[in-house]
Formats: sequence, structure tokens, C-alpha cells
Amino acid sequence: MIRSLWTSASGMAAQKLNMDVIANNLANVNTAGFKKSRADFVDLLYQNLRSPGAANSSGGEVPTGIQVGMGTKPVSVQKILSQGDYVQTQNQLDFAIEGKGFFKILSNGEELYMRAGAFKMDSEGYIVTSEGDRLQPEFSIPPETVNFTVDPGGNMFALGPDGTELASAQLTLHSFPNTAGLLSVGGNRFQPSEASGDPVESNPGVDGMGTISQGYIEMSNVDVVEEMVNMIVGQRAYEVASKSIRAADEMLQMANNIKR
Amino acid sequence: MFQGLINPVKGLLKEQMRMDVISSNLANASTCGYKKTRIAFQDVLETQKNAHEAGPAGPHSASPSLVRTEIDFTPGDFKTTGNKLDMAIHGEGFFKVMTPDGVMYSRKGSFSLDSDGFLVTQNGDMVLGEGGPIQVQGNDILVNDLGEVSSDGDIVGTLALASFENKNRLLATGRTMFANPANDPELPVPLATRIKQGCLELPNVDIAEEMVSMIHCMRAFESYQKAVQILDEVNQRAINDVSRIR
Repeated sequence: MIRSLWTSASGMAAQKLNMDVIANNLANVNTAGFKKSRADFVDLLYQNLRSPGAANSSGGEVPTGIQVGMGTKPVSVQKILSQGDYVQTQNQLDFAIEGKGFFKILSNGEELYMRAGAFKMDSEGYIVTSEGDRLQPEFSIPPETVNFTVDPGGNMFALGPDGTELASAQLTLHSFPNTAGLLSVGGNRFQPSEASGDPVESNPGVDGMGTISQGYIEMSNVDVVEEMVNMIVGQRAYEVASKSIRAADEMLQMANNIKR
Repeated sequence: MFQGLINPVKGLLKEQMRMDVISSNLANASTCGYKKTRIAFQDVLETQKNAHEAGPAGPHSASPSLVRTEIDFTPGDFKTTGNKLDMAIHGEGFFKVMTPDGVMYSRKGSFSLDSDGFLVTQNGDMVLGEGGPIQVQGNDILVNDLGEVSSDGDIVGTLALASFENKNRLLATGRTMFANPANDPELPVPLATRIKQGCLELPNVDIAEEMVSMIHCMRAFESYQKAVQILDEVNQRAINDVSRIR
């Protein structure tokens, strides 16, 4: 009986984590470049009271044993890196990556990666994120620039009043062997980890890398309907686990009442 | 005299075990690839009959050693996730996974890639292809109906699937994996088995069924409890009242 109390509690704990993940996805439904996560569960160990195939008293073997499961546990919160929707903004410094790849930025000396391409300009003309971290490779747009363009291949041009090229640079993208293994560090940014592997740098449109769309932003890949359905399922699963705690509790109470 | 108490007490223990199994099934109501456990009690009458045939062993009733659990391998429903590394087996068969404890079998197909591009489970164990672990180099991962994994149009491996003549001899080890302790031979999966990319197999736990079992279990527990109380009362009377001299 105590076993089933803990088993059910593991179910409730798992659903609580599930709700946390869903709530974070929903909270970021309008966050540019956000990638949704999914909690994944596995069953816990089994108590083997008798193994299938063990010998019985008459020398034969038992076809099925006795195994009592001990509940569930979360095994991962997996990032789902599917493409988000694109929104047209007409802003010259908004870049969306159509396909694979991440922008690299330098934040306090640390190389971080992001999909969100809503860039700004700082006082020295460098392309920066909203937090002021510079896009790598660094590019300073000259002050007399009238028109700034990026082609799908990532060539950035700063054009003067008469269309002359004042400065240009090549924007590069980075990919990972296992993008789901990246570590979210907040601020739409990701950090490479042991699991993600080392970044591979390439020009947009080359080696399977995505291309750049200027004037577009990639929104989050959160699907509200899907999250709502997951929420309903999660809430019901939570409820049902709480029901089995109550049932186990009542049975314990009955057992206690045997001796009046 | 106290022999009568043993039977309802055994009943209480059995119902308790049944409740444990129900709780475990319900706790896994959203664990993809989970297979529910079913508990069965051998028939009391049948046992008695067998016991009589075996010899004058006297009446027996179902004891906890006559409980058995069985993993119910009926397929669960499919959920479409659209995630390229989610796979579900439509039909008979298991994915083969290389774990530190040897090859294990699983129906859970929510895979990932590791830092070297190998196809792994969420636990980091390698998923086996027909020629060993599958390494994906390219970007666009496609898995066709037959389990052939291709990246950028090149086939890089075929998912190894296994089935068994008697799945009940498999041992659930947790992490939605099954071990093959008796080393039963792996059989090729039936031709009708298909891999569905972008789908996950939901647990085959039927919440309504489990709730009904739970009610059943609680009421049975209650009845056994009443039986214990009544027998206790009978004993009490036998001890205190029968011998009372008025």
C-alpha cells in the first residue's frame, strides 16, 4: 500500500514537471526564435517478485512472473527545433534563418548561439542583439549608410547615398551535430554542451545551412492548440494519480480499522 | 481455529498488490511507449481441485504465490508530433537498444542524436540498426516505412527490429525497456510491421479501465477486511462467550 502511494506520487510529480514545461512553452508563444520543449517520461524500476521463466515447484517454468512497477520518472526535457513561423517586419536589421543554423554572438566573452534575428545597432554601428551582444563576425555599419542589405547567402552590404558600397562582410551560420543537446541559457540564446557537439561554421546556403531573409523574424514554434491539448491530458493524468493516492489511503485506513 | 483468518488476510495482501499495479499503470498514463501491467489471480476453486488431485493436501485457497503479472503488449494509440526523430512501430516488434546491461527492447521511439550524430534514446543509449548503431551525418533525416534511415538522400542504416514468439517471457526493467533474460531467439518482425516517422506510441493504459479496477480492488479489500473482522468476532465469542459460566 505504501508502495502504491509512492508510485502515484511519482505520477503526480511527473505531471507537475509536464505542466511546468507546457507553461513555459505557452508563456513564450510570442517570443521570437523560441524553441518549444517537451517533457519525456519513462517507467521506473520494477519489483521482481518472481521472474518469468523461473522454475516452479514441479520443475516446469512459470510462463509469466510477478512484476510490480514503481511508477514513472522524467527522462528528458527535449527541445523541439522545428521551424517557427516567419513574420514580415520590413526592418533592415531583422534576419530570419530559413532552414538550419544559428547566429553566433559574443556575450561577456562567451560564444553563444541564437535563432532570434531581431538585431539592433549600437552607438559604434555594430550589429547587436537587444542585450547589446555583438553578432559574430562583427560588422560595423558606417554612419553614412543609407541602405543596408543582406542577401540570402549572408553577404551584408552597407550602401551610401548614391548606391556605392561603403562596407561589406560575410555573415556566417553555425550548426551542431545534435541541436537538441544545446543548453538554453535564457535570452533566446543557446550554449554548446557535451551532447550538442562542436559548432560547424558555414556560409548561409552552403553545406545544408539555411539562407537569410532580411526583414523577417522567426517566431516561436509553439503551437497553442497542441499545448492546450497536452495541458488537458497532463491535468487529467495528474488527477488520476491523485485519485489512486486517495484510494490507497482509504485502503490503508480500512486496514487500520481491522482491529477495532 | 485461527486458520480461517489466513484466507482473507491473503486476500488483503493480493488486493494491495493489485492496487500497486494499478497505481503504477496510472502513474505512467502519459509515458510514451509504456506497456501496462496486468495482474491475475489464479482461480481458487481450480487450485483446490488441483490440490485434491495432487493428494490429500487439504483445501488451499489462492495465496500470493498464485498471483501473476503479465505485461499487456497491445499497441497504444499514436500521437503525431511532427518531430523527425520520433518513431513509432505500427504492428509487431521492438526497437533494439544497446544499454550498459546489454541489448534491450523498447517500443518507445522518441530518439535524439548524440554529439557524434548517433541515433540514441533519451537516456543516451544507442539505437541499433541492422549493422550496429546508426550514425546520421546530414541534415534532412528521413525514415521510411521499412525503417531505412536516410540523411540527405543516402541510406545510412536500417533500424533493427525484433519480435518474440512469447513476449510474456520478457522482463520489464524500467525506462520503458524490456530485457530478454531467457535469451529467447529474436524473430524477424512480420512483413506488415511499419515504422511511422513523426509519431509516438502513447501508453496503452486505459484510464477508465484502471479506475474500474481500482473500485473493484477497493471493494474487494473492504470485503476481506469485513471477513477478517467477522472471523475475529467469531473467535472472540468462542473464547469469551462459549466458555462463560452463568
